[in-house]
Amino acid sequence: MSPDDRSDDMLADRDADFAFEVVLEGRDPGDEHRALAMLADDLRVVTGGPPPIPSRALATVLAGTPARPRRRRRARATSRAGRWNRAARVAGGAAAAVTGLAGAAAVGALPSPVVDAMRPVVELVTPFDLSRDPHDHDPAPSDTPDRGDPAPPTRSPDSPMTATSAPSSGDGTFPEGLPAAGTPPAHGQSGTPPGQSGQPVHSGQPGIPPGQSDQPAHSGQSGTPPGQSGIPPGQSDQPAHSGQSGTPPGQSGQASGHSGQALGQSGTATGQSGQASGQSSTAPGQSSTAPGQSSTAPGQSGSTHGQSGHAPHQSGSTYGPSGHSPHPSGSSPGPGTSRPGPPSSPPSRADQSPGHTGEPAGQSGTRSGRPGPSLSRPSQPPAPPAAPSPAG
Amino acid sequence: MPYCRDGEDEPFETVLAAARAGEAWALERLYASLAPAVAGFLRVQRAAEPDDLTSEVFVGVLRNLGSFRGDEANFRSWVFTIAYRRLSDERRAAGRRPLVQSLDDTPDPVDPGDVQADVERLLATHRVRELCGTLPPAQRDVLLLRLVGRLTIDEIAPLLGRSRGAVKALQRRGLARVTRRLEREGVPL
Repeated sequence: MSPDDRSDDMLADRDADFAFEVVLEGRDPGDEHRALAMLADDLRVVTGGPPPIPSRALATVLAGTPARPRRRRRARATSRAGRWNRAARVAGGAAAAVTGLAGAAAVGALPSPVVDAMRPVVELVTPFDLSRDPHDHDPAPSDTPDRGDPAPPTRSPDSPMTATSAPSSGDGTFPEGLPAAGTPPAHGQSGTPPGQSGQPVHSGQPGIPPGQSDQPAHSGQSGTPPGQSGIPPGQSDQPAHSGQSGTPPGQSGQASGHSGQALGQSGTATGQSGQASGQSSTAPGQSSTAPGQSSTAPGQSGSTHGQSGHAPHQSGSTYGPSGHSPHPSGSSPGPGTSRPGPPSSPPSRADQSPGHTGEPAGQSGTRSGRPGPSLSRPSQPPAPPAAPSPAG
Repeated sequence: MPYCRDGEDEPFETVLAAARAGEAWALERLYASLAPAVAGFLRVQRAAEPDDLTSEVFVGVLRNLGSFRGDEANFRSWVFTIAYRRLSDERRAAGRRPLVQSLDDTPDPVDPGDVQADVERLLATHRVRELCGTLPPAQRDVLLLRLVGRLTIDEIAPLLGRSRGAVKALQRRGLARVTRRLEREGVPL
């Protein structure tokens, strides 16, 4: 293509462009571009007229729908938020329910089955220990009246303590549940021993064989108050157990150990001991024997001793809970204790040994932890009423 | 076409802002002002379903008003750009499916309201179709976009994927071909 041709095309393009501009403006482009004007006129007719009927989709848009998508999004967002709110509410309700149950279980306001169910949770989440339910022990005292019977373990099967006591009594072996007695730090130590002066019962029983001398050990405990300090080293050997278990046998020799424990415990021990001492004329020698027996761990001693051993275990177990819950022990010493068992039993026990009487007393002692009151009691309750019931 | 509301003309900017806010009257105004031109453009281009395609075009236009920037002339060009792209899509789709019926046999919709206007429109459509049928597609597209869509050369060039000079050449050749065609048919110019 020659330059002239190019220049001609450029001129023609410019002329054509000008013609289109003129036509679009509605002016006459001239005769040279008449055809363009005719085409433009036809196109105006074709593109004129009413708009076509909009489709459904377009009608929706024309109705002002552009905002709808946003509404839908908002609705979805709100629905999601609502779901989360519901979930949060459900979770909060569940948490509140669990917390309430745990609290109730910790207080002991729930029945034993429920407590058993909640125990793991409570023990895991809270500092409370539900291993022993004070309510379970109530029947125990009534069962135990027969001192000579090794059977006493007849605790309510529900309570873990009973389970432990039963096997221990028969085999002399400690089931896992015993740890309370065996393990020093265990709860069993704390409350159990002192108040459980039930062991003292054995001691208190006249004619108790030497094997039962566990109780003498208690009596030995009795000597503890004053004697604790002067407790022979042999006794002191056991102190560890005694301290822990607070169980009768050990108690005697361990009296010191008890004393070493919390004041409440020590007080109980002393209270028992005081009673024992007061009632029982157990000579210091007995008490000394006790240590030998007691050399076996309190729990063990209970087992080894057989019947008598049962008593301690039970007592330990039973008292354990009581020891846990200061209510019974601390609230009211002897008969005053809310539990029916103790009151009925006390008299009999009292006959047998101040130790039993000491239960209440011991409890009282536990609460108080004060040597004074516990010591003073021995004289009061024990002897008179007890004699008739069990011993006879 | 004036953008009327309750008998009063509204500036294009006001109508556009109201349409963006979802005002039905403004959307209706925009549709009524350009839909006939778009439908005629598609009809002359022999679209299979010009009315349906017009609706599709305006659905896209009205849903994307937020992305438009410009004045009324720019808005018209923008709408025809979308219409042309939809038409191209339809042509590609039509090329992949069998043609069941000839478009020439399809009767154009007739508005029973104004018979004379409808007849004139029908005749004009027929003439333009015949005239444009003699043009190569590129020339026809340039002529129709220039005359109906009122797009400038600079706007058509990117739309067709050609240079500005090429579009000008297509415009000139198309105009020359139309002139020769009318002279040959003895149409008094």
